[in-house]
Amino acid sequence: MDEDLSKEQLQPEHPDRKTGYERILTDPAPPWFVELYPGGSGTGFLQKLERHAFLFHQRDKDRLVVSFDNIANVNDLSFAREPWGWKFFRDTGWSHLGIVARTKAWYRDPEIISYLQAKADEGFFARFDQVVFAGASMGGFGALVFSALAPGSIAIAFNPQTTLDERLVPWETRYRFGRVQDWDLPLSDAAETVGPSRRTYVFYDPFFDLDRQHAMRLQGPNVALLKTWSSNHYAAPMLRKLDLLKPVMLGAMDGTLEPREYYRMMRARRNLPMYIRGIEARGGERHPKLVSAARRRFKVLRRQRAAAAEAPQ
Amino acid sequence: MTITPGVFIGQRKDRMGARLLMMLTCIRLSEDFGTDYRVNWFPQGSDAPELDHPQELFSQEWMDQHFLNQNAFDALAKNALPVWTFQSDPSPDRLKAHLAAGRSVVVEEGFEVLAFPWEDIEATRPRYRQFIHRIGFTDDIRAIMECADEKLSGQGVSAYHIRRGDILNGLPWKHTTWPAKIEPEELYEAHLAKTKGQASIMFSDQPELIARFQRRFPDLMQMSDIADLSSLTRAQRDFLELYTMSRADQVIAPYISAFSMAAARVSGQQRKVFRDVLTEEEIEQANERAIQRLRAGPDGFLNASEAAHIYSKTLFQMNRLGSEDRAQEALDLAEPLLEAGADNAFLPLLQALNLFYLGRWEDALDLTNAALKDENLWPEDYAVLCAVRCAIQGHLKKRWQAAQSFCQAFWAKPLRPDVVVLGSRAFYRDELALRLLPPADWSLQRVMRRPWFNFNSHVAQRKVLVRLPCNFDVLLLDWADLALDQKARRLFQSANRLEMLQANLERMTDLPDEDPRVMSFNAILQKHMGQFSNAQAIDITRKVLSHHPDNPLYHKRLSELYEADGDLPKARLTLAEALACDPENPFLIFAMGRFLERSGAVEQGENQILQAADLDEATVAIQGIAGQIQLRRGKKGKARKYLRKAHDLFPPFKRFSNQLKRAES
Repeated sequence: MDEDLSKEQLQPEHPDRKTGYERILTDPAPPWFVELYPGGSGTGFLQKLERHAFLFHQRDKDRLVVSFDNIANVNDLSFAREPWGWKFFRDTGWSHLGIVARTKAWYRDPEIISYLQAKADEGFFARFDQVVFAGASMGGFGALVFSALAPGSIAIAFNPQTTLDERLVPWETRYRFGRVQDWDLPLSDAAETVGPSRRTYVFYDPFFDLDRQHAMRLQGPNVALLKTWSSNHYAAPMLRKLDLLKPVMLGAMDGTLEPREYYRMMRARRNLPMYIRGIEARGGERHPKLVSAARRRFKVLRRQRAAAAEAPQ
Repeated sequence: MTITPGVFIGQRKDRMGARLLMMLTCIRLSEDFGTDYRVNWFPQGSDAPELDHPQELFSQEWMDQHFLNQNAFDALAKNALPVWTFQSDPSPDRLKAHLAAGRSVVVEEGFEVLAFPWEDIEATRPRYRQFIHRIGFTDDIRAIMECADEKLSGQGVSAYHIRRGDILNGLPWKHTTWPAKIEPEELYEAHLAKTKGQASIMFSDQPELIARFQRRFPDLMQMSDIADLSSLTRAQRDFLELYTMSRADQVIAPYISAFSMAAARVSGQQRKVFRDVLTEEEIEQANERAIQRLRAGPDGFLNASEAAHIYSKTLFQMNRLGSEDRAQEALDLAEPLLEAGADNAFLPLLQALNLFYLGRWEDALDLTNAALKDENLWPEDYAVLCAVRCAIQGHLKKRWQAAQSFCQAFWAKPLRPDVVVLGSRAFYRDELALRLLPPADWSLQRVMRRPWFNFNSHVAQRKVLVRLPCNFDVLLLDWADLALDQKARRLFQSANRLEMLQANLERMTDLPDEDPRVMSFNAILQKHMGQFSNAQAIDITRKVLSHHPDNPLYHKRLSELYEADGDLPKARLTLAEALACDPENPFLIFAMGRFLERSGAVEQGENQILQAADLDEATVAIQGIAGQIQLRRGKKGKARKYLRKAHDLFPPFKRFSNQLKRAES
């Protein structure tokens, strides 16, 4: 293959850096490419704008999930980069529009707002019976605000910000580069956009003040605020550790997840070291007796689990 | 409707010589550009009370025709431009169009014959001789002018000007050095001795000095030998002396004296300095005689202040290139002056430098800190003292403090030779904590060097620096906004400074042309020089950024290019990318705040600036602007915090000091 490339295409500008062309020879293709390359088995498209990319897999004709990246992988330039939740959504068989961000701009960028608005106007979302918008943190914000483009859809947001507009959330101290964006653009405040959703699920740690304040801005009968105590800003990883992420996501995507069932599943948190550490940090000074009791109980449960694991089947 | 063409408006806040030159320049410009001129005799901040009664000099009719009152000046100045904004133009077209549109031009230049690039200054110079007669003087003044013409014109007379006056005793003038205005008596004596037998006349604001010279040179004339001016006011005397001086065949004076320069301009010839009329050897011998006089202490001078000023002048002799190390001698000469009560604020600065040369670091630091407490220090000298302190602290391995001192000096006076030389020393030696400075390509800054300064500075540059000094315009190319000094801020309008940067870049061989630091810098520089289009600069910067996405400086540069292109959304997103690279960097936050202000998101921008000020440690502009914001918002208490810090960082900067007073009232 390298004979097909010109010398310039093969010549890196820096000895330590591969050119895009050279990387074709060495870096593995991303998994989604298997479906979307011209000879691939799937249907869909990749559209690359200046600061965002859209990866669409047409699978289930009735059900679509739209995912939004968070800031963690914005600077990932590898070929292997996937949209948020790509493997999970592939395994569910849902159609998937993955929105890949190359900037930490909280989707306050005319290029993506007008793109998704145009998609809504052309009936892209309306073609599906069930549309879900999902993401975490900045992606959670994206899911909450852009769900307004598909009324009746479901939004699933882990640790989302509702806005970074300092006029509305002057207490927000994180993400300076997000706060300085243009918050006068449309779809800037999730508190105003979740109304038309069929269901909005928000996962957050009530002990993590900034996330809690954002969650409290979301009100309405369609809004389910679901606590992930002591998870800090990592609700989804906590659910994954508890082996709950998959059932919770599937329930939420169907719109069947209810708080009672969710909290029943969440009792498993008592087995999680990060949960007991959170309790110690939170209540160690004010409620030492309670914390001490919780610690003892945590140890008992751990021993019981260990004994059960060692017991002959 | 016919538009009335704009006029040239002359104004100077200082004294007779500069004002007269300014008027002659206005007359010349109005003649050449076919329009009229006006004079704002009472500009705001005027500092010449003796000129408060112009009717002593000018006829009422002429003043009615040419003088502006404040309202008329404000109306004309509203859409006027300073004449320097046209001085880099290749042709007169823009200036003509400006005047034709009814817009005026403010002329504040008062030291040189003004000529544009398309003009021949040597053809312009002789024309000034006739312009003096276009000014409407009173009949009394005219009579004495004729008398001077009669007694001096064509007699081969040398006129000397000895400038002392307010420099010795006036506030604030006595507190800084005036090496271009003060010459030791020994130089005048050397020329008088050399031209013995030729007619000569001496002018000075110190009659004692003339009397002293007349004792040694009885044929030496003074103004009273031409006409009795004793009944005239000071303004009248000043002007008539100036005119009389202009009738001599040669005017010999210090390098900068608006008075003698104006006299020379009026006469249509170049004023001469001692370097023109004495040999190197004669000058050296005269200077050594002045040093000899200083060895006897201040008694041989008019007062201790004169001794201090002459001392500052002789330091150039003692520190000149190739001379032996005379730092100890300089230290010993200054000691008795300080003991005799010379309270000139610059003297401890010069003494601190002597201690610095001698490697007496702790003593130098103590004296520097003490000197910085003198409220009479001029802004330039305060900056130099901060630079001296920076170099001392750097040597003492106090990198953080050294960087703080550097910031104080540099942001106040980034073009001052002493600041550049002493700052370069600390920078080259890695004695500065660069965290206190904005994002920059420091490795490029290190190899971008400017020539040695060939004009006066307090510091003997080659005593403190082996390598050529840094060209800190590299830093200002991205951060000129932070400089307090207006001239430093005008980098993009200064063809000379931009050309010097280009020359530095071409001469620099430490980094290859393809190096991203060079490519990025060159793109911005060429764009400002008009060699690259904005689109070209954007392409290059984007390319550089694609390989260095974590470099906030390159993001900031790209943002500014987008802004210049009118693409504000992209500019904003790109500047936010810079912030994402270094979210707590006060300089980037400040830059974002300024951008948001410019693009209409004023409140959001102001909030960013306030946050920048909370994080910033040593940048006067950031603190001061934050204080102004709080003051505008009516929050005096919060304004005080920032303005106090700005004031403490650089007390001589009046704008923030005045605002602090308002906040404290």
